[in-house]
Amino acid sequence: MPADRRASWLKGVLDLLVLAGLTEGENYGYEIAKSLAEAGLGEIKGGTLYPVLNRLEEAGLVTAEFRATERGPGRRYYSLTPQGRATLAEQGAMWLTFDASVRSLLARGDVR
Amino acid sequence: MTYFDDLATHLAARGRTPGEITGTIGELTAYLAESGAAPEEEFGPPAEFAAALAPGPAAPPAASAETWTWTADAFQDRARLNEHGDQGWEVERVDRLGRFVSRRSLDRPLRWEYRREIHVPGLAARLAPDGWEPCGTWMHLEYFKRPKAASEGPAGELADPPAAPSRHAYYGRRFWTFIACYLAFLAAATTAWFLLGDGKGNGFIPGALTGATLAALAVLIQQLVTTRGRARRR
Repeated sequence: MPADRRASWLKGVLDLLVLAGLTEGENYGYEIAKSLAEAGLGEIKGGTLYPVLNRLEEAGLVTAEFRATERGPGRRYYSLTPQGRATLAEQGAMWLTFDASVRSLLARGDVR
Repeated sequence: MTYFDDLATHLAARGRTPGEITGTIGELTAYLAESGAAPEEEFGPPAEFAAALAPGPAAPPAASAETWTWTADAFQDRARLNEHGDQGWEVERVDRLGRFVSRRSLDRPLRWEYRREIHVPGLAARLAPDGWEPCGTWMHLEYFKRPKAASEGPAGELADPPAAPSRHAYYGRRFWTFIACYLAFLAAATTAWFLLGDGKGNGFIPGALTGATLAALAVLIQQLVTTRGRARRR
């Protein structure tokens, strides 16, 4: 149950977290997953991350540029678009409002 | 018929007792008096609300992925992994029998590419920056996977994946030839050891070993003929 609930929470906010991570500059899949893990969200596997990146790219919230590397088939570097920034600001604010309500209710149940 | 009459009818049809229905309707009526809203606006259509209030036995969750377990000999495992990975199959682990336990999402599965390496300490950490994730080990071999979306983006997904393969094992001619040669070598080496030894060897043992090897060879050849015959008939 705890793992399912956590996965459910993450599913609802992962796209916003990816957008937030790109505000500091462009990045590629492995480093995006690594920064999310270092932030305490646990290991984000490629099978979870890339569908999110694909949806963000298709929605025009990020752009991707393929760059060859010295070894391997190359990487796609993702950057935030102006539409992505606007969406992050709007929906990020909605999340924070939701989070504040949840915290308030939990505090009434002595959960802090 | 009022909203609550309708709701009561639906609740009764869903197996609620008269006492339970009366209690529910009473509670909802009191709630509505506080909210001041119209019943259908507050609770939704009576049939749907009744289904939410009195759900039937929990239906099993709809499957979100299909699974398939298979194996291949070491001569063609990489080719088969990449062939099936291109069809959306993601290896989750390698089981203790050396089989690839795979799954494929039913909705726009990712395409996957695979590589096989000799297991050495620190290998996963070295390959991780290029997007390779470990997906299983078998004896000294370690397998890695990477979504093709890492380099192809949305093109790394499949809109219309093919049907799941019907086979669960891929053993090629080179594998059977290798096995036959290896067994023949064992038989020859064992026989030579006894023949060229110090003369104290018992002729029964090399004979039994050679016979067992030849019997195993016969079974393998019979399996190969049967498998090829089935393949021709399909």
